[in-house]
Amino acid sequence: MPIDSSTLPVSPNFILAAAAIAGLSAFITGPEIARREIERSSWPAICEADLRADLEAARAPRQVIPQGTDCRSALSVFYPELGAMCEVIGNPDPAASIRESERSAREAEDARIRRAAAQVGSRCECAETVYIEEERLSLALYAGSGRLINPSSVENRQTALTRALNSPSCKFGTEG
Amino acid sequence: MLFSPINIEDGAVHTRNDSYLLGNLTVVSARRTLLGSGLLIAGTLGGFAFAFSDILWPHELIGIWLVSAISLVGGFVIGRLRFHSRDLNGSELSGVIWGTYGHLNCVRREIVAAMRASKSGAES
Repeated sequence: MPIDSSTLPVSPNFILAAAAIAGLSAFITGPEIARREIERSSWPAICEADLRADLEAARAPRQVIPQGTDCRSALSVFYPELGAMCEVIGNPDPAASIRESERSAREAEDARIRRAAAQVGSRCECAETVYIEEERLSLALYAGSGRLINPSSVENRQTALTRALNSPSCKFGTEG
Repeated sequence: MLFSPINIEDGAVHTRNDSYLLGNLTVVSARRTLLGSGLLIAGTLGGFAFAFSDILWPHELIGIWLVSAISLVGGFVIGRLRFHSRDLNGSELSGVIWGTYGHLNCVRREIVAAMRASKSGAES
């Protein structure tokens, strides 16, 4: 059914202008304002510092392997003269294999931490993107009203960003 | 200034593509049809620039104020002249001429004067 524009309480131009402003707020000004305000806040630094601290806290504990378990060290404590005999048989060390596996496990863990640390910045940016996508309407209201309407996700931006950071989309790099 | 030519002669109004017999016209109206949207755009952009001036670059602020001023001035200055008659009612042809509101208002008075002259000529 055709709509007679002369019967509308406001002119069609006014409706078009209002729709254009709403679209602009939702897709351009809202996200851009959020991006700039996040950049100006302490969030990027806090996010990166927290993620690095989490990585260090999650580091696998070092396995304690006693030193001096080789034949010479073990025997020379009680029988120094037998120490030379150990050299003849190659000074065997029963803990050598455990020490070697601990060293390679340590190297693998260091590499994992390095890889995860390299993605810390990307994860913080991911949180920002997810937050902007999920809160598009709130951000549009905030930008369109010139800060007069302050939705909770904007007022408690840090919490919303942390929630976005822990969302499945931004969990990359944290798996073993 | 008019965005398309208009002439009043020989008992008719001639535009670029159409001619209207003065005897058939009943209403000639000049309106600032962009005023509402101009005010809305100017108010919203001005408010936006004022509220977020702390995080906008100077060139962005200048651009926003410029668009805001153009919208405001455009809303007040630009108008549309519409012809209404029993024959044209409801058709697209009833909205015809765009131009500056002041000029359109003068044209409106000229058309009404010509309509009156045409009517009195026909009666005598």
